[in-house]
Amino acid sequence: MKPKVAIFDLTDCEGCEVQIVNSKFIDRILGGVEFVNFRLGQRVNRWDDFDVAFVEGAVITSEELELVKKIREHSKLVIALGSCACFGGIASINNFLDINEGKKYVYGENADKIEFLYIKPLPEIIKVDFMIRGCPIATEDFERVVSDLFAGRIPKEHTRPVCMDCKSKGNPCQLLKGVACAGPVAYGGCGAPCPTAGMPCDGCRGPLEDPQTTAELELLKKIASKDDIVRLFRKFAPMAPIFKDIGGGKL
Amino acid sequence: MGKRIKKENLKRLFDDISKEYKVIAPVKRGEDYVLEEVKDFSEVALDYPTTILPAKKFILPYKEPIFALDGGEFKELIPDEKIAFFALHMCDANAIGRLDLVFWNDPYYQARREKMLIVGISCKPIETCFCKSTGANVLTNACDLFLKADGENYIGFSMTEKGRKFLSQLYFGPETVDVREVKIDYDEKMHLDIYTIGRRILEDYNNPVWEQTAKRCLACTNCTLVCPLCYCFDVIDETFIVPNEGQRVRCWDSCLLLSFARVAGGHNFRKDLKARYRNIYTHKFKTFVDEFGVPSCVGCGRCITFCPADIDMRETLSKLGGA
Repeated sequence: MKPKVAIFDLTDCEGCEVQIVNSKFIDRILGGVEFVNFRLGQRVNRWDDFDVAFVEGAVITSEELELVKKIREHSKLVIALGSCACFGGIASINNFLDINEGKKYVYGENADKIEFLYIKPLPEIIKVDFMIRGCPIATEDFERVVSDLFAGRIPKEHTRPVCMDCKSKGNPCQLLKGVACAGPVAYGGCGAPCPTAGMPCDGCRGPLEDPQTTAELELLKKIASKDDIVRLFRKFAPMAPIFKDIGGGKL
Repeated sequence: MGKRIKKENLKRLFDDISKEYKVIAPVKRGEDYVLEEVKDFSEVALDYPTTILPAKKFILPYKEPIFALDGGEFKELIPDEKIAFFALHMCDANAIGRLDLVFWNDPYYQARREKMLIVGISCKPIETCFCKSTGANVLTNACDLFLKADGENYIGFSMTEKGRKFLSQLYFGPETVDVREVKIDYDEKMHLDIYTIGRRILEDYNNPVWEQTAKRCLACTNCTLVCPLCYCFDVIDETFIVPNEGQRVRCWDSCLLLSFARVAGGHNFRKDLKARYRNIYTHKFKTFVDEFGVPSCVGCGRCITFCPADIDMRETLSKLGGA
């Protein structure tokens, strides 16, 4: 019997799911598993006990909060998909702001009808077996994790900073240009698309193991304002460990 | 013994090499210089400070599949390309010479190396250069052909049979020029007695310089990636969804990473960045010297130029020089 797989999404842009559909191996994946529940990818979906559930997005409403608990109960493995599920994502910038003011700005007189919880990353709500990080995820990372699961291996964490992806492409260093960049402390494996396109790394994959945060902050303080540093770490993975503190102003 | 070549004739030399080889040369990209495949001589930067990545980028690529499983069938992937480096600086050419000592029996390295042509060129040492200290400022047979600046023009020296083939062609002058020694000579900003310092590393293992410098180090790995002689690699097995299709990949690694000295069971020999930072030096200036007689450093200065934290390897080394 094929493994039963579900892909759920909460509050998100669905970009990570698009990255899955983008896989050049999508035929092989479709041939190997049964997608029982995949709202974005197919018309007919149902609840069942899942071998693996991938969850994209941040938990913003109490409905979503209940949903993730239900997903956990029904799944052998839960894998967080993308920065929103892993680290709160862009939406969790609101955790640092006055949410009522924000809601009023966006929804006007309907603001009171809009529910918006303090956003916790998925691992703080339910047990998460693995995280596929990134905003959006890299298709290769999804393929790697699926390949490992098929082979019965535990997926491996990346242990390299974004700098390694960046410099291996021969890119000039953003920090040396005086641009605040999270590369040295950021979890790599993304292939450094941002610095390759001439922009600094925003650390969307959260912190690397053993990040040299003190040295990084000492360096950033020389080239950027406190506000810029706070904004850099509060952008895509605001609720990630370490980034949460810097984003909260602990420099 | 050298032969003169006019600057305007370099194009003809380049074009002739291009007929046989995939030519890699320094080109300007934005503010920086990089080594890239070049088809048109006008793109070549003959006068450049240093390139971001060294020739290693092509000899030991960042990620290199070494064998594949294709539908369950084993296929060894031996590279098949004829590369010529054009206008490499002496330090970078000598770095390849030192890599040869390590990879002399590596089939993937040798497949490229045996067919390779290296054309060196004179440089103007910059503030970060210390090739004299590492003994990499002297012409060796790592270069097949070397172009020594002679005013506006060049004098070509062939060091190998492969190089001689190009030296004897039409664009070099007929008369020979008597030059006894070809080396890059200049006043280094900081001269280091590398061999003495190397011996000091183990004697003075707990020198405070390690702790002090590691505090500033970002462990970003840039210094090891841009180093022409940092060749440490990891081996990764990849499968492509189905179990009978995949590949084994050799990929650059860096001893600055926590994962580098982690072994099965989770034990880590170098948990502190201080120990990992020191390891770069112990390897380059002590154990490599013990094994091969030269340091695994050619003083190209890239680790200084491209360190975002402004760490200068020469300063660290100089603090070990005492006694």
